[in-house]
Amino acid sequence: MAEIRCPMCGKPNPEERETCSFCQARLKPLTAPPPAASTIRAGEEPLKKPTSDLERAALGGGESIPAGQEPTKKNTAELEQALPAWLRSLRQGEEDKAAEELAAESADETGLPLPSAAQPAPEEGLPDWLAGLGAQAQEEEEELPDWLAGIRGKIGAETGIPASEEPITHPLVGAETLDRLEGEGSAPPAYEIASGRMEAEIGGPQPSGGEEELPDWLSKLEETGPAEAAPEAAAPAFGESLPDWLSGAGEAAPAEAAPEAAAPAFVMGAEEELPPESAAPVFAMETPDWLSSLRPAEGQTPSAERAGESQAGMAEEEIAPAELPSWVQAMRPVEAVVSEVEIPTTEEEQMTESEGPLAGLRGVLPAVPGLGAVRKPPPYSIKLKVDEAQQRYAAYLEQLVKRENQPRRPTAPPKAGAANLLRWLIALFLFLVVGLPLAGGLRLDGVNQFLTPPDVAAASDVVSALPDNAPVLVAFDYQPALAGELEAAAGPLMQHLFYRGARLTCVSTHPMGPALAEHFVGRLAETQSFQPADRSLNLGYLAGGAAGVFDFLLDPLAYLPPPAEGVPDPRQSVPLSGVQELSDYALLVVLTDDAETGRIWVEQMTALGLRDEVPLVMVVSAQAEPMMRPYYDSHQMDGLVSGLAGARFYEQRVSLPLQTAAPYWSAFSLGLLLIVAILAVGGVWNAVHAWRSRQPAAEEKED
Amino acid sequence: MKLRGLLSTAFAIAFGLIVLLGYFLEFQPFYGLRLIFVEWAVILAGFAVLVGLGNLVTVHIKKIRAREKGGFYGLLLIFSLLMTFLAGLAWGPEHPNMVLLFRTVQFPVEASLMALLTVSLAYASVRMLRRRLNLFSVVFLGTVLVILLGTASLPLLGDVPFVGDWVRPFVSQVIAGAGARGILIGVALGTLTTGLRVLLGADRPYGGK
Amino acid sequence: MTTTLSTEWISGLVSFLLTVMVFSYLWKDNALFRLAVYLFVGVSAGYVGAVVCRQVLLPRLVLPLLEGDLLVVFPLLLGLALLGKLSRRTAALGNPSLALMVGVGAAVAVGGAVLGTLIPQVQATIAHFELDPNHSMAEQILDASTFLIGTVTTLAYFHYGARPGVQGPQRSKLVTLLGWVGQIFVAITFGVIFAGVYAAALTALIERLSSLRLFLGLLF
Repeated sequence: MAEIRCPMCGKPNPEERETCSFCQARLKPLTAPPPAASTIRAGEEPLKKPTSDLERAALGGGESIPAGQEPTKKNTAELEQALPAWLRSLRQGEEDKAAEELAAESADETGLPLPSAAQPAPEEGLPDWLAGLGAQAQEEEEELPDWLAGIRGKIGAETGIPASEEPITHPLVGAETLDRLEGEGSAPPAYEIASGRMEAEIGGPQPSGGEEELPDWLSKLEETGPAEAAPEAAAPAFGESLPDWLSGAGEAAPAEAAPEAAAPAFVMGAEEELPPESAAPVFAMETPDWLSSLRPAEGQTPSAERAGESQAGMAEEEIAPAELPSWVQAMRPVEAVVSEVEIPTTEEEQMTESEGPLAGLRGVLPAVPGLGAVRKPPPYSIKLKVDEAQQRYAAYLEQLVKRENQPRRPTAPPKAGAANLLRWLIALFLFLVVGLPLAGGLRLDGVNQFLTPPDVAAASDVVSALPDNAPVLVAFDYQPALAGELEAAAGPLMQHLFYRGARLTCVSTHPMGPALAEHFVGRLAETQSFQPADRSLNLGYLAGGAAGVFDFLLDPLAYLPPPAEGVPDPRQSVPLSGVQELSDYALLVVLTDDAETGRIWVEQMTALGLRDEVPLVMVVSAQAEPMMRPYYDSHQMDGLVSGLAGARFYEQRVSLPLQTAAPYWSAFSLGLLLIVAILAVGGVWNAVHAWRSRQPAAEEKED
Repeated sequence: MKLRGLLSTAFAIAFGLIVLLGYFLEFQPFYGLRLIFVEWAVILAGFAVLVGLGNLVTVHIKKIRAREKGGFYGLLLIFSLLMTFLAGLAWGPEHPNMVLLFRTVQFPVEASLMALLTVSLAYASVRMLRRRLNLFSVVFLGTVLVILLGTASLPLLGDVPFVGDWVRPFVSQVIAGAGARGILIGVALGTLTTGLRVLLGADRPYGGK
Repeated sequence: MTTTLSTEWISGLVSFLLTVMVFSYLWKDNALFRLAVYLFVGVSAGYVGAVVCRQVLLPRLVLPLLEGDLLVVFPLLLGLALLGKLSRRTAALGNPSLALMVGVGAAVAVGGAVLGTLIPQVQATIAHFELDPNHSMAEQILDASTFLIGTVTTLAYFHYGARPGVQGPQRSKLVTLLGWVGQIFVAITFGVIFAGVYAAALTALIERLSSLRLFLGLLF
């Protein structure tokens, strides 16, 4: 005969007694009256019901357990023997009642056969009906492109998870699971939880039937959710940009899959990721009718779980462990089992003792013995989380990889022999065409019928307007490589300056500049019969680029060479006579082959407000002219001479004893004409060749 | 951030901001300070050139020690570098002997290298359309042809009419001038943002991390 | 006189030989070409070093220091620290020096860019529309419009800003269109620059051939 011990005095009592025969304390708590049908009477054997019936109910009939999974223990009588008899009877009664109520209610609302109990959360260990997912997902994984499978395998290796465990996070799993469960007539609530959580793990929900099937309010969610803040909120659009390997998932999900089932899953996925400020308006929207009718599901959404302790407790009651199949209970870890048993916390839920020494006290006896407030361990997902952007990048990568695998039409590189031959021919013609005029055979100059360009005319006008013997600052900012061009281009202007009696101060922001200045001024001095030292002073190199120019413009005399024995003081030299600061110069001439250097001079002159005090003229290489011309157009310089062409115009405008541009002009013109001919012929030839080679490629594509 | 990194960042911000404010504020202390700071920067730029030279020598010494291919050229480079450096220190770069050295070695070699560019550029231009045939390549090459043709004088005929006196000036001064102005403004904007990032410590290209 | 002539002659001969050695590259890359180039690099570097020492460090650092100017002690210390960049182990010592250079350089560049390019060039673009009644109005309007369109579209071409879109960041359609037009302007501008480079290189070739002819004229 079974006995129960009194919780107050500890003495044994017959099982059927309501109160202790020794101390009159209540032996059975008054949480709920046990239904008469399930009451275990004295002498009866404890429950020995096969719980597979419950299992079938949970799955909505049909197959009890998916293939490949061994049920653990369908007969839980042995396990239940460990429980006190009063608890066993109580539990059985609740199971039956809850199952009946839920089945009746849900069948009315959805028209689907409903389970008598909610399903366990997937992270608590896969029950049998979910166990097939792994195998199915593995099959799906085989359909994935190799490169993605490799990535996943690698991730699995890095995280310590074998790749085979990954499928639970695969987007296909959600769709396939839904499909299968739908076919089995599974209950929407359980289905929503499972799919929603899985979708949350992959960072976004899986659209089952495309965006058209979404309710309006979900479409609005997509529009209102900022893409950066909550990429998951824009998930419905995800269906449009699905990569190939994901688009199959969308197709795999049946179009007729109940939107009522899919929609809450979307909500869960989106809601979890939305920031509070963006989530608020979403839930302020009017709930559609179909959603509001799904009352059982509401209590199981994460939002309800977060709604507060009491609400959470009530929601958990609907998936109370007493409603689970016993074999599932047996599989679950103790902590998980314990945590799902709710202890009545409110006064209304606790009964007041009416008899015995505890009479008048409320909630003295726990409804379930030995339980405390044990929290369910939070599920930490160690699975791959892939958001929409990552999936898109993966798709791009896949396209790239595919493109790499496609055979390309090899573009035939030029043969070394042919390339060399072409190069030699060009060189030969150039040397001949340029060399002949230099040898004195041909002259093309003297037939320039065009007007002098305004920029060159302005430069010569500025020099002409200089007072006699004016101090002029000249910057030699070019490299030896272009000294030939610059000396030819600046020759007329420099001669003009000397002709006007200008006293030159030379500086350079290029280390070679001082030598170039010596070289250039020396050559001009030879032709004009003056001693360079009498008419020019070389201040040397200005280090630091723009900073050096800035420093020099603010205090040019600080750059004077130090006084030395036997050398006259430069401050007393002719070129610096009357010069104390930059504004004392009558003109600044910059000779440069580099637009960047020219820009520095113009910028610093303008920025320091010196443009109104000192005129600026530039002689630039032809390669720097396009970038310097805007400064002339904006009146930041007073004259511009560019290249040999500019010098030629200058020579024609100002009669000078030495011509530096004219001797080069014939060779220059012939060289340009030759290059024009080569470029025109060669360009057309190669363009036709390239166009022809494109034709077969285009035809291949069309085929 | 390490103390040294902090110091570097503080240097860049403090010295830079004072120099920059000097452009916009008529404040006498700034004027003197920025001159001093820029002067220091100029001196440091000189040191930086020496660092570059030292690095060049180091690289070639390593090459010679490792008996790599081309070690002889490295030896020649170091020898000529040291000789020129010492001669320049002794005489000064403006000395006639140094100018003669410059005219004998640097000027001809560098000008010849530039002259080689005529052949290389012509060859590359001819091949360009074969490699990339699109609208912009054609526009580019067409512009080159127009400008070169408009610059040259024809034998016996002189300057090319219409192309030389109308098309070329319009293309080079108006169309290209407009493009160049856009590029210059873009460069200025880029300089502004990059410079401000340095001055605000967001970018630390000096190793502050 | 004889000495000068012989020096000039030797200089001309060396110059001639070096020019020919560099031109030999047209045939193929060869030892003579490399010899000339390495010699050139060595002489250039040595010359630059001498220029820096004689024209920068000596007058701006050493002489003031010898005269007792303590203000240059700070850049001297920073400069010595900068030499630490020659070794990896001491490279970090030079960071503050580099920071000073970078900071000052950035300030000068920003000041110049804003006051010397940005404002004047924008003003100039606007000023094109100040028409001169003494010139052809149609021509002025054409020029001014071309300048405005070219400047704006070129800037649009270099504008890389984009807004987040469904398929990643995307430029707006207007900017894309303007950028396409700007690409035409950029292509023309680069074409003009390329022609200038070619003209500069051709001038260098002419100068070199001219010097060869002069030297050969001395011989024969």
